[in-house]
Amino acid sequence: MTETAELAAEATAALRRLVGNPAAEFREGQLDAVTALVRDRRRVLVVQRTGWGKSAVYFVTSALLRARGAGPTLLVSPLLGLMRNQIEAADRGGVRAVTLNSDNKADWEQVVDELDADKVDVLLVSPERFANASFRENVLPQVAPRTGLMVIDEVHCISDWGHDFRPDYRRLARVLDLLPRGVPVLGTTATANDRVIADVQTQLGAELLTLRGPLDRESLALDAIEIRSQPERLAWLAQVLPTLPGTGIVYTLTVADAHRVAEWLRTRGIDARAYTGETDTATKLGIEEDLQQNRIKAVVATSALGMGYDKPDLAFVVHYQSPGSPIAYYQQVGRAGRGIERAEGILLSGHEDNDIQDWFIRTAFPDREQAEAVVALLAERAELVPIHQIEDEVNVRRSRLTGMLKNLEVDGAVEREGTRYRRTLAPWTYDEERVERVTAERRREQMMMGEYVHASTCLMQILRTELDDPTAAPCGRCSRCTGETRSAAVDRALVIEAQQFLRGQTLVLGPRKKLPDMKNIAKTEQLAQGWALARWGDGGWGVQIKDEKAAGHFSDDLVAALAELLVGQSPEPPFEWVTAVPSRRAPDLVPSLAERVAAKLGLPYLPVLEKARDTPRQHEMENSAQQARNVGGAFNVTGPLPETAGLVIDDLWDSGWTMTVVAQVLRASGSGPVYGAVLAQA
Amino acid sequence: MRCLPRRNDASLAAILLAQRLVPAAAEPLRAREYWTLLDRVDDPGSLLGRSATDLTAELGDADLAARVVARLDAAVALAFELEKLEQTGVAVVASVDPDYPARLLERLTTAAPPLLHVVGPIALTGEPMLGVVGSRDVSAEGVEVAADAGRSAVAHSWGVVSGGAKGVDRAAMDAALEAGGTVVGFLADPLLREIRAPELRRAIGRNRLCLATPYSPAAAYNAASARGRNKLIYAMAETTLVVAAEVETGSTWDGAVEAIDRGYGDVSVWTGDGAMPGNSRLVDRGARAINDRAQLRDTPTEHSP
Repeated sequence: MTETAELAAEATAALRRLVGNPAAEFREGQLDAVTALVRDRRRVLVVQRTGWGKSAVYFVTSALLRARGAGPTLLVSPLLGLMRNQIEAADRGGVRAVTLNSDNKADWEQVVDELDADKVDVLLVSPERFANASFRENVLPQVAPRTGLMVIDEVHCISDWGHDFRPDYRRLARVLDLLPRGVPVLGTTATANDRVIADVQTQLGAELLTLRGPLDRESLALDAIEIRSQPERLAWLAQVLPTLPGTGIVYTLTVADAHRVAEWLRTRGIDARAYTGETDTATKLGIEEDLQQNRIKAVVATSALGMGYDKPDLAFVVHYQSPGSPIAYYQQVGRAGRGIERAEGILLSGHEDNDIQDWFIRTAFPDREQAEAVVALLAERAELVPIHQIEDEVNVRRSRLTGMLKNLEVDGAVEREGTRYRRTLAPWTYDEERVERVTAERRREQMMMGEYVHASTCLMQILRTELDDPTAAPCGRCSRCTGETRSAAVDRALVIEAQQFLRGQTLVLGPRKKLPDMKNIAKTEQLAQGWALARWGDGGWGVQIKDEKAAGHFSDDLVAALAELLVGQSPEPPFEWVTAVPSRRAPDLVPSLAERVAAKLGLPYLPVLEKARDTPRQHEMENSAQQARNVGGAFNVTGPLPETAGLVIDDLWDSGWTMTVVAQVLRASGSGPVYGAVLAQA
Repeated sequence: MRCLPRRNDASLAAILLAQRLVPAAAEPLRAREYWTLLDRVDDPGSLLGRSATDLTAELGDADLAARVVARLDAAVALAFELEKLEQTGVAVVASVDPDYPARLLERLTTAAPPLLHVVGPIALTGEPMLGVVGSRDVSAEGVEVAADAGRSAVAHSWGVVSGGAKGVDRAAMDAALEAGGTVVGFLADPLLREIRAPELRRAIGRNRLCLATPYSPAAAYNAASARGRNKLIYAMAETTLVVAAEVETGSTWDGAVEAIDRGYGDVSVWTGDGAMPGNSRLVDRGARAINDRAQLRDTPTEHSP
């Protein structure tokens, strides 16, 4: 037998052990990849649709390399949760695979012991692990001394052009730059166009072997419908989901929408659960399992239910809002129908899509002036600076500051110890060219999605063309090919119910317990509780609130809605009087609202607060420290206060600092507990 | 964003052979072993991805071949470590890299360290420099002499190269930086600890200071490493001024004698007020005596390259 034939026989035997099928054969391309990695120690890029069998390549390769005395494989994958099945399957096939992630810290010691004893064949870690100092200091040196194969799953994430570029992958890309030849590297992805592939090729080096297959999904029937208003879209979901066979996923763009849609569907008797980046791990696992077992009709998820979630019989993926890029859409909709004959992928597009996508595009990169200010500040201090001190000096919202510092950390401009940051000794400049280039690409993708919704030609072909699939052709299954686009029409009564549902979504606002310097506010001086009628500019009341604030008068509709909300609350002790947050800019707007709400509630209205000085608008102040400084000392109490609990009314809840300060002032002047109510949370 | 060049295979292979940053299954090559191997192999990158059998045929030494393979096996661990060091601003420069200081190769030949761990602009090593060395326990007069030497270098548009230790070294370096000059420090103390000092970070940020060490950036100080880095100072400088040395003991004495005996570089020694007993004995060994401040200030002129 030739060397190549021997290797092929050995690889096939390993595959058969792995899948537990003595007749199994490699699919096209799989053996080429294994041979290039094992015999030639080359770098290989596999661009194949999900289900092609990428895991077979790296498990078989690992088995063969291990038999040749190599160290374990290091596999980096953004979603390890989905790999539980693969790990178990590999174990059965004699390949020992273990994972280190934030959820199994208790097992780390045992895993490290097994690595020490050279018992591990494949170690799976998430890219985020590499940003973790303790992992890098204590674990990595023990696990990586003899890595035989490096696998980067979802490798398109290392490309700026990729639709879901991730900062942690950027560091991984640099690690590849620092890796000499002789170490086999396998990158895999199902969603990469020419530009992304070119980027990955640059990263992986000129001698890269690229294996690329067709990206059609033969079971998937696509449809795309524009339904602009949220109540109509909710009604449509309630009407259509029960008619779809099987179980599936409804994707939303925001966490709030995921919860709202899930709750709405439940009120309509459809078993739906919300799944977002804020859902805790145990709940996520429970939901994944319920979906896996078809115990629920639908999971309403953000992109947190992401890459690689694998349920072969997933029957539908419906988008409640449109993602910002065709490739992102292809990836999400592609979760449907992997192992069944027919599945549906329906895109609904609404009026808010563009605003939300715009926000994602705008906030993808830190603002240049702000980033440069932070770097200059840290360069001057030249030591570790606590984040709240940075916040004090630079006008950036805490959440944005944290994101910016993460970006700067990946850029190598700053380093972090806990919540303290220091300028590194590496040179850094803001890469305007890169920001503009990527932003322009995002805009193009956003436009493509707008065109997709209104397209009259094959939808699958549009997606495959975006992915530069040379075999892209009309699919014959989508609504445009069959001429059977679903109707956007919905039952009017259902729309009204959806409207009422949206309006009934009370938001509970938690009191601020700490000052911006992290000092505690005395419990007796905190706001007891707050409520908001709606989110600013959102479905339900949000749009009307925005319009009426601009017009300078809140209508009786809103007065009635806020009063109704408050009647529904029964805090202990109950509030017995009402006051308003004064403003010099619009002196009557809020007092008039508060007075009318008080009348509806049958409570006395006491205008006891006065604005001591003019302050800039709160939303122009970007962060807590500056907002708190902005309102600190801004209010005086002008009259005697009852010792009973009171309610403060304002139009907007922005940072929460105004209510926090007003509550403090009122409590210090002898009032009982203070509650807050606003029309909208910004 | 940083735009860092891709590391080439020759450089990465050289680092793998000699590095002490991550564990490997075989001991790192010492300087002489490293240079002997590089005499036989033009491109260390050609060692990558080869089997021990294959390398034995080329090197004619099975033990060495096995050791090389074991060293190169740590490639992934090293890549992660290099990336981590880069993040803090530490670059690892191998002898085969174009920015490795040429003077070290010329003057030290097979005693040149295979690797340097560097923060700040390594290009500063290309400028003419006055070396300043001396004991940590130096008199107030000695500190003044060192500072004067630092300022004289700047006045003649020279840089200062020194060891970064307390006493003589820091006096010369601080004076040069204050006078607006540039400084190269070859450290025997752990680099990662030293670069926590805010005043050094600011000087590095302004491209005025480069700190380098042949030792692992986290490794603790010891006398051998102090002597080992002193030869880098002598090799880098047009001339090196010994401000204060004890007699027949200490790393200053040992380093100066080694530099004179092996011809690593020109050695001057302070013999004016505040000199220590070892200073005049170094004149007996062949160092040039400098006995007043006027002569000290002219030192750069006399040694113009």
